[in-house]
Amino acid sequence: MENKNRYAVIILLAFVFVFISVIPAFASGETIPEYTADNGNMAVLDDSAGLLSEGEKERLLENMKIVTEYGHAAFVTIRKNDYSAEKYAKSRYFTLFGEQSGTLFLIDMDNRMIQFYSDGKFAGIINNTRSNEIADNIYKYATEEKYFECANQAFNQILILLKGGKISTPMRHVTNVLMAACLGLLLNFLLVLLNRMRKVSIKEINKKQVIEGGGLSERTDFIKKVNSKMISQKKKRHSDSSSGGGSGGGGGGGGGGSSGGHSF
Amino acid sequence: MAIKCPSCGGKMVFNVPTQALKCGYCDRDMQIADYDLSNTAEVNKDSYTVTVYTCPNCGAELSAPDDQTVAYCSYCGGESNLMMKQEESIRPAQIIPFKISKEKAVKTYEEALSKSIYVPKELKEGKHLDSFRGIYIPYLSYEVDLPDNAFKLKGTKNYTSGKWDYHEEYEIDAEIGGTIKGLSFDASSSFDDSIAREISPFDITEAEDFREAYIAGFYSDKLTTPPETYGEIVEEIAIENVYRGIGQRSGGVEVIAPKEYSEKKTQTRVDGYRHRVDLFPVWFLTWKNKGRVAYSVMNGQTGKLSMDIPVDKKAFFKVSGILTAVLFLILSLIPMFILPKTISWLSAVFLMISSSVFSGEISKIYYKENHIFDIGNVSVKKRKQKKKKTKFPKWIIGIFRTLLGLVIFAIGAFLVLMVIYDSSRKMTNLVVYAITLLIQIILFIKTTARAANIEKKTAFIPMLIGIIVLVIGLLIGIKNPVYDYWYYGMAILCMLGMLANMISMINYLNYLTTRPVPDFFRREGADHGK
Repeated sequence: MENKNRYAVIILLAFVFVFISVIPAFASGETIPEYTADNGNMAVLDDSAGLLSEGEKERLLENMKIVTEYGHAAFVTIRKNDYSAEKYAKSRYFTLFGEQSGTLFLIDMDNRMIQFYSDGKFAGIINNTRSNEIADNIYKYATEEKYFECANQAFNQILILLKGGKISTPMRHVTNVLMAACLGLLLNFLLVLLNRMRKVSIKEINKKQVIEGGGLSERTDFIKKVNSKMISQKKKRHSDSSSGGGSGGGGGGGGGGSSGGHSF
Repeated sequence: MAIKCPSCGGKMVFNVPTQALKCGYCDRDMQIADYDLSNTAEVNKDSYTVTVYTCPNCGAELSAPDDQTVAYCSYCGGESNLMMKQEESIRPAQIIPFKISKEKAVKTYEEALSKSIYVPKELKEGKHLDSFRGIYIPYLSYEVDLPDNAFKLKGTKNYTSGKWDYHEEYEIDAEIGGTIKGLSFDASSSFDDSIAREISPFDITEAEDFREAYIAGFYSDKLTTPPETYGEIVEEIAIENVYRGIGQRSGGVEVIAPKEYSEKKTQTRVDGYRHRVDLFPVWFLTWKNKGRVAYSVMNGQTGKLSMDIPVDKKAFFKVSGILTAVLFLILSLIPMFILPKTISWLSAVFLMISSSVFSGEISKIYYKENHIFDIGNVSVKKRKQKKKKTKFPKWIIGIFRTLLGLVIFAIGAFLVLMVIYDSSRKMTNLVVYAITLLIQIILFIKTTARAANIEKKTAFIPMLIGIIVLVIGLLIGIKNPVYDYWYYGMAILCMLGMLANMISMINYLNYLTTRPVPDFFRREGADHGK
């Protein structure tokens, strides 16, 4: 009996310990796990679509914590979205972090899209191209319903870029090779066409050439007399083309974020 | 009859730099006028005796005033012995003597060749340069009489002075009368009209009265085109020239001529024409390769060139490979990621562009092989007349063109909006594939119809490949799969389709820049001018 009570106390204490130890990470105190680093950057994990298990959330949050060394990090999943994935990601980012540096990775189950949104100095590193490259590298996990692997890889690749590394982009090279081959062949062919272009139309007789060849353009000896009389004259001031100094260029305008995504 | 040296009896030829006769044996120079003075009996005849050389392979006929060693045919490049016979030929009225010597012609040709890219090695080596041959081409020169006549016209003049735009209206009283001279067109079926147009104009003010001495050492082509062939266009040009001249004499007034051609004809009282035969000089070079011939023709008076230059396929694909590598490097350096769906529809657009270029090429081959616009080739007259009957009125063509332009504009605007607003690229792919497929089918129908009337009947194959590829693309667009490899696969298929077009285009470009070995045995009106 005494043992039973001891076990119950241990379980209760363990529960209390776990509860207390988790509290700091759940700043809002609800279902959204959060972590605030010493530098003030936050990691937010909002799995509204319920795609991750608790253990996966913890492991992912650990990974996201590393990102907070550089800026904010958020992972959001949603089941219902009345807007495009891009719009939602952008708006959610501003709700969470305003215009501070960071990145948000969204899995939109409604639009079947994975989407990145980055802002501040992150937008310069994880720009549209990089966002699309990462999305292209990881969308397969989402298609195969391996959402943890998808999100984990997303933040792994973001970290590589933040640390100044390079991510593998095999598909970018494939698309570039195809584009280059298409353009190369077309351009070269156009070059040949230009080089071999005939100076005259094969379709018609150039009357001007016939006239010039016969020296007719200067000759008007078949016209004996011409009297021309002006019967009306209209004049109007011709419109000047606008000129002058242009207005000064717009300022930086706050930069703006970057985004990129992929359907799954 | 041969032009013989009065001193030694040797053969004399026309020497281009001195514009005089030169004896091949004793080097004696003799002015053309001096020679003809010693042969006055020959001058006033309506015909003169020539030696006609007929090629047993193609039937082309060239004539020369004397017996020459003719080892090859300038039109088909054949090297068999040419048949020879004496014949009476119409005496041309005037002749423009050669002003460009053979040496200068060869040099100009080599310079022009060096500016061309992907020239076949055999052509560059210049082994064929010896076969540069000076030929006088018969031209029909027309004169149109303008009876004395007076009429009133209206005209306008627009100009800007200072900050003012002026629009003036005029009443013009015109009196005309006289003859419009100097409208010349080539009159040989063997000599392609497109070449004649390219090397024109000849300056007929430098023409001399015909004397046989001018053609000594050269050949002349045979007159085969009936004078009425160019009758209609001669009258048109003469009438246009009357209105142009009136405007010019009125101080740059733009004359408002009657809209209907029949009214213009009545007003100017142009009715009929006179013609005569003149000889114009050309340097002619033939290069025969794999059953095709390539001509390089130079205006013997001005040096203007028309060249058929085939493309060296090996060099073309080598440079394409290098260009691809350079573009790949550039694209890799640009921080840009082309989405798989984007590259998929972009490749479809590229495929469609290459197909339309290819289709245009087949049309050109069709025009060339069937002599559609070769007015001087009398065998096409019937076909041309047939074509006229099926012509739509201009206003219908105008409406059709406007509608077509609007449709193309709407499609373009739609595509741009799609690309901007369809972020998932679901609809873009579908729409682009549907449109490109539709255009490809239209091009396929057009190309197949044209290919049926050219030597190469297989021209429709690349277009068919394009259709198959784009149908697969449309199905993928409908299914809209998630995995990228579908889109990359599509792009690769489009690329292969494009490659098929490109290889065919280069083949056909060579086909277009060369000509089939001519067959003048079949030509109509070949007895004209005998």
